Amino acid sequence: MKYIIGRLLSIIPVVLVVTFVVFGMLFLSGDPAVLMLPPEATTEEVAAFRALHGFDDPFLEQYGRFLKGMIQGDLGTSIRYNRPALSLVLERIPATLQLSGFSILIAVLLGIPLGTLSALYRNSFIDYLASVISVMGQSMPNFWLAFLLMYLFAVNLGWLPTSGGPGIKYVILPAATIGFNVTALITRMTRSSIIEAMREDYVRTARGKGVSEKRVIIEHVMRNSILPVISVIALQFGYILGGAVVVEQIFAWPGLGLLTVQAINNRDYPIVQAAVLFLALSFVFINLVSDLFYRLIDPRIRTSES
Amino acid sequence: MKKLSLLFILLALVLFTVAIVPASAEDLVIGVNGSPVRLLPFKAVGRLNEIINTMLFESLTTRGADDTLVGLLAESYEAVDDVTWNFKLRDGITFSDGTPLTANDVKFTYDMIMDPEVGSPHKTFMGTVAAIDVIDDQNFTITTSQPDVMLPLRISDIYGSVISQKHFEEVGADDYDKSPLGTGPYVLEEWVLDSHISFLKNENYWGADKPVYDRITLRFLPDDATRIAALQAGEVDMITNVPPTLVPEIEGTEGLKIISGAGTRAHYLITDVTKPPFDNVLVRKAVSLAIDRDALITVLYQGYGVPIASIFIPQTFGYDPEIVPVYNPEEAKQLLVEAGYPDGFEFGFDSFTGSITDHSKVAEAVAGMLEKVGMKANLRIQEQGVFGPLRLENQTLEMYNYSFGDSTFDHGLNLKTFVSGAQGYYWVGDEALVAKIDAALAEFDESKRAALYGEIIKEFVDQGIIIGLFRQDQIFAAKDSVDYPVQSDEMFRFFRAKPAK
Repeated sequence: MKYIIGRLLSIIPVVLVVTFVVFGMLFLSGDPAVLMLPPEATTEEVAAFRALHGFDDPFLEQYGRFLKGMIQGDLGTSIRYNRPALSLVLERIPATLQLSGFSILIAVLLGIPLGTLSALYRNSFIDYLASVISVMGQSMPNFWLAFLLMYLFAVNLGWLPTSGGPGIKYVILPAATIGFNVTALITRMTRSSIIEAMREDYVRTARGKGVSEKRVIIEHVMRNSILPVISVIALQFGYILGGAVVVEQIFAWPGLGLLTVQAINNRDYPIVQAAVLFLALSFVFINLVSDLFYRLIDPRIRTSES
Repeated sequence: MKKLSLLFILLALVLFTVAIVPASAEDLVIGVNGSPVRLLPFKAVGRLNEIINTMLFESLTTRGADDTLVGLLAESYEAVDDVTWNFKLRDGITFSDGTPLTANDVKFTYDMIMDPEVGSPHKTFMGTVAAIDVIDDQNFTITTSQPDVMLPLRISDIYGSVISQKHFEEVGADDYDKSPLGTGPYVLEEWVLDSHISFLKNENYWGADKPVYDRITLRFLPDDATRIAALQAGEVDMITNVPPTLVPEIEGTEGLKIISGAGTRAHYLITDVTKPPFDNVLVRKAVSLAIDRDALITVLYQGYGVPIASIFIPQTFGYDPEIVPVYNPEEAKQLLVEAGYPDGFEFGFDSFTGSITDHSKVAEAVAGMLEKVGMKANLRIQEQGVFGPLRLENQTLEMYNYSFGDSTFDHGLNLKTFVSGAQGYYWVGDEALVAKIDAALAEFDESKRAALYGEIIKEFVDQGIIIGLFRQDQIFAAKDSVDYPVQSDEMFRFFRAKPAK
């Protein structure tokens, strides 16, 4: 319990640093009034806009105002939508979670069996296939894979829609784009983890006792090698949320990423701040959950700390 | 590695064999690069809101299919003196629910726009309006606080779109967005924020030009390549804002076509005329002569543009089509010698990234052309957020490039800004020109005003006050089965789309 409270408290400095960096970077990117208004705007229009949104106040004053609002649950009002930024961000989260969930599902369903098989049948065709997938998945940029999948499955084969949403048929391509990348990592992790476990004494003991190979793999090898894989999956969740930003924009998936990119393009700073804050907080939160999960699965971690 | 490359070759091959699904004649689906935020006209601002407004709402004036300003809700309008305009509404105009439109609806709407409490972003466009007086259901007058020859232009389309007083009083501003009631050719069917918006034909439409498609849907597809893929996959019938570099992708697909037309955005150069070397008119002329505008258009815009000599696009009121920029680098060198720069000179050239259109590539190309005749530009490219304030404070380097989208075809009061020596426009103290601009802005006789504008434009070109580069065109792509008239004010009036014969 003490551990959990300690971890929760550690979120506070993280949030302070994140908000400061986000706020500072937006501040450094230039005069928001000039950016938000069309190029035809006159000096008076720019000055009026600056005053209206408090952009002409000193940096620390603006930051202080932001922090004060944040504590009260007010992340500012979107300039474009004229609605609270926080509620716009919260509205988009379900769609992004759906996309992330599907991405993980695809990655786990593909990655764990593929990694297991390639560990069990080393240097076989399946092992080579797994390596090819790993290399491709890790090295292909998301946006490129996105268009490859879009042209193949939507434009040419016509099996799936190119873009849009929400809905199951719309989520498949963007989820596959993100999932493919994560599949690569899970495959590699599963493979090496299983190979390592197979070398352990308890596996040799189990085999020596005459336990069937199937039971050895499932009960002894898998169980012990799954831990690092779970940790990787949990850590990937943060990456997936970040990757969703680019992929949602490409597939016009109406989630947090699309909102964020549009907000950046429209210089709708309150939304950018709220979205980045949310992403950072979820990253911290996921790490916390994965740590707790880790302790739950592996009693050794608990005992070594207490 | 071999397996990998084989896979890529296969995938690449598949990309070039594209199947097109035929469109239904009743429905039109359009992929657009933005999404609306509000539908209530006097609260809506931004490109997509303006476009969607033309589906649902109408103003007293608009641009007809031939791009000239015509009365829409107004059957006629005239200035009876310098500050009084008489307007007469057409017979039998109804909102889409069948209730008649009256002069009271116009007054109600315009009073809302002018009310500071309402906070309408269109208030500045009504800046000169002092009062609206209803005479009867069909007739009313607008009184302006000062002579304003541009009033009919200023209140066109979204800026003066009329809403129903009765409906507004029933539902209020927020619910007007959800149940927009206008006199336009379409009515709202469904609107999902940042996803899509669909319209059904207004069966009660009062106008003579009845809408053709039963349903028009706009899908929000922010990524350029995704819009093209959606068109190739047959999911949409037409797309807007095709980047010039992706035109060959469309042209290479059977069943698809490019639809293009004049745009409003003028690219140009501004020089600091207050100090050498650009205080010398010969040097400014040399700059203009040294620029191969056709090459800029071909290389940067795949040919989708026209050369211009100053900030004025060819649609501009009073524009003389005889004024065309000349490319003659030899003459440019000659002028530099005459101006006292036989060995040329070095100068600072500002440009920026991150605007609605690309400026930095234009600057790079122009710098290369100027260097060939001896004017060596030291290019400084910054983010718009950094460059913008410098420009507004006249703190730029000796030269910078900029652009202006003029959808009114009449710069009006902006003309005075261009010669004010402020907001990045360095030209100042030209009393004769200022007097001519004042005279034009107060001239109610259209032909006389056009003549004055012609003289002003010529002065801008002769003095090199603003050195024009090119006008950027609009590019759409559509299935062969769709006809869409591109309008040169860059307003997308999708209700004018129809099936191709």
